[in-house]
Amino acid sequence: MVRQIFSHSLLCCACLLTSTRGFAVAVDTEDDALKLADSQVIDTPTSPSPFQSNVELAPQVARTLAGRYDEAMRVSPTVRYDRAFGDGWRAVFDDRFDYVSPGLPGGRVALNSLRELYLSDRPSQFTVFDLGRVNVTNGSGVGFNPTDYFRYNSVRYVVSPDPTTQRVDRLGTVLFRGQTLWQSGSLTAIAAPRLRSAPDNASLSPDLGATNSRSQFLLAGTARVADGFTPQLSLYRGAGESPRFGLNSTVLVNDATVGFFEWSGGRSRSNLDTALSLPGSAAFQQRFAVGLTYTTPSQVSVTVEFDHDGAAPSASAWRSLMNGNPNTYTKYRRWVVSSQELTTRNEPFVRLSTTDVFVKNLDTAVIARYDLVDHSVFLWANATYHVNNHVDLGLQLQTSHGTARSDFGGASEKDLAEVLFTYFL
Amino acid sequence: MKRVLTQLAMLLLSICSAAAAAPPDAQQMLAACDAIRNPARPFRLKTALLDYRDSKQVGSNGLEVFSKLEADSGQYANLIRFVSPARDLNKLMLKAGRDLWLYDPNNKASIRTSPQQRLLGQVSNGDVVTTNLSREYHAVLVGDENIQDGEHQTCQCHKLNLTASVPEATYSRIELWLNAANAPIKAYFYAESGRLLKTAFYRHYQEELGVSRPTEIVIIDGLMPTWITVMRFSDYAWYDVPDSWLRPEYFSSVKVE
Repeated sequence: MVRQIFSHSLLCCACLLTSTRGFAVAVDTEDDALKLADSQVIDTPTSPSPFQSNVELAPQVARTLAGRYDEAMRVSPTVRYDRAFGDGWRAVFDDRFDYVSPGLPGGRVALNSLRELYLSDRPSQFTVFDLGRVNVTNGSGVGFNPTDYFRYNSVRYVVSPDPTTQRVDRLGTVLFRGQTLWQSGSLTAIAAPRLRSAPDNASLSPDLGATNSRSQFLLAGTARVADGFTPQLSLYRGAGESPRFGLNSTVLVNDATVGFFEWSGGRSRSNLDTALSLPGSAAFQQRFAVGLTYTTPSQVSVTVEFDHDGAAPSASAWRSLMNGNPNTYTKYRRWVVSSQELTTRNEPFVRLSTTDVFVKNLDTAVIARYDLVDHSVFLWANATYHVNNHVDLGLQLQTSHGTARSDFGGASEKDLAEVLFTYFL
Repeated sequence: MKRVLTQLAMLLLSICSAAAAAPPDAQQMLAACDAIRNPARPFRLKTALLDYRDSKQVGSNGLEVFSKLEADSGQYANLIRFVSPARDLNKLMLKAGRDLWLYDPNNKASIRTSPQQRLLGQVSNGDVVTTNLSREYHAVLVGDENIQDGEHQTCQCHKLNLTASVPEATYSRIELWLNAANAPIKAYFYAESGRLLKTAFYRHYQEELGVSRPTEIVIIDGLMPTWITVMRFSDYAWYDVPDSWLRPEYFSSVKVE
């Protein structure tokens, strides 16, 4: 059934792409262009509704490590309500519901993600207070964000390996945030209380234990050091942990290139000790992402990034984990997915994206990850065609290569193809 | 004494007549053109942007532009809010000098982008935002020409040649035609290689915020003349743009009412 829907979806993609081309009408002169503009009725953009919603329909086929083909269908409605009221107040609600057939691990077919629910007050144009569940993201890196401190356990259901999408489809943290700005800088303070002791996998649970299983505090400040250079310094502390320091900076190298550097450092146990709940001894660990994004005149953007996680297993530790107890290996892999840390210490990351390059209204993206320790490779490609103002049609393909139990070769899905219809209301 | 007074009077007369006969200053004409295109006080407006290829509409965007003249640079800082289509709702673009930032409210990511990265298909970021050309280009008056304007009428225009004088200028060279009131009528925009990037017609002049301003720009692609973009401006209003809106750190708290 899913395979039928999948093949019909591909056919539908092709039909829509060809049907939008139509017949060319000669518009060769400036006068013709003006006459074309004369003939159009252009409506003034209206103020948007505070409601924003869309529905995704995504049939997919995956080839598992065992060589079996698994079919699945996902339906995911999303609702966002963002409204200003009173004198400087604002209310935000953001929720996503995933229905998956034949089901998720554990037998569930549905999973709700209450991503945001908060109130905001702006007593002045330079001061803001937020209270509630807020998706706080941080970091100038593209493929890895060591200063994105509130990412741990935040993704209930992974719908895409694209880091950009993972920042959207995750739970916010219940917190109080205050921010103040001045002429040459800003200061943000966040306090997130402990509300539950452990994650709750129930379908409709707000899952406060995933994001608020311990108290967390963050201080982040920016300062304009020079024209066009405003780095951010941060200090984060989770209950039972040593403080972590962070740095984020971007710089415009030239008209086509942006450079970025994201760093986090602090005393902590290794990722392996944390994942396996081993006592371990704490040491100063550094994580960073450094890279460049270059855009060609024809609008092809290429990001080349080097990611380092000093707390991840060394080459020898990773090899012994690969060849050791399968339960220990699986437990570590699961922790890496939920914590969004690197599996091993060093990983180059490349992202290539285009907009309107091959076909008008077609966005494409390719991601490549390479594990320098076990030489496994992950490739993901996406093409999304904006059929009209309400409909997107996408195709996602991913493949992993490497020896069994390697970083990417050990992924449960060896290859995956997914068609993605999105309807924006 | 009488002779001295006569000589002084003759000198004054000669200065005045020389001033009257002097050609208009091209840079001042460009500054006057800027004043017609852009209000000097902070303001907001709505922009409807339609893309055509081979006479078929292939895309549209609705934008709200919040603009404020920065005292130190003499250039505008612009915050662009996407209001349509729905997939782009409430995305923000900030352009202040050479700094260009994009914010997506869904993933809360403030992404710094390079000036070369276009965010709106064929239309460059420089076309969407408010810019004072006189701050970024050196103008030379070439002469007067009769051209066809955007209303299909013949217009006697002053032709200016503009060459980029600062690195943040979007184009290397511009040919700009102004009418007798220094209002822009038509422009050719060139790349550094000398290639024509686009042609623009400024038209449908209306009284907006106390000055007659163009409310539509028709842009024709230089390489593919059947690729046409129409930008329609409306709902001009004075608006006290908060300084905090022009800071990437504040993006997640920007809420337009």
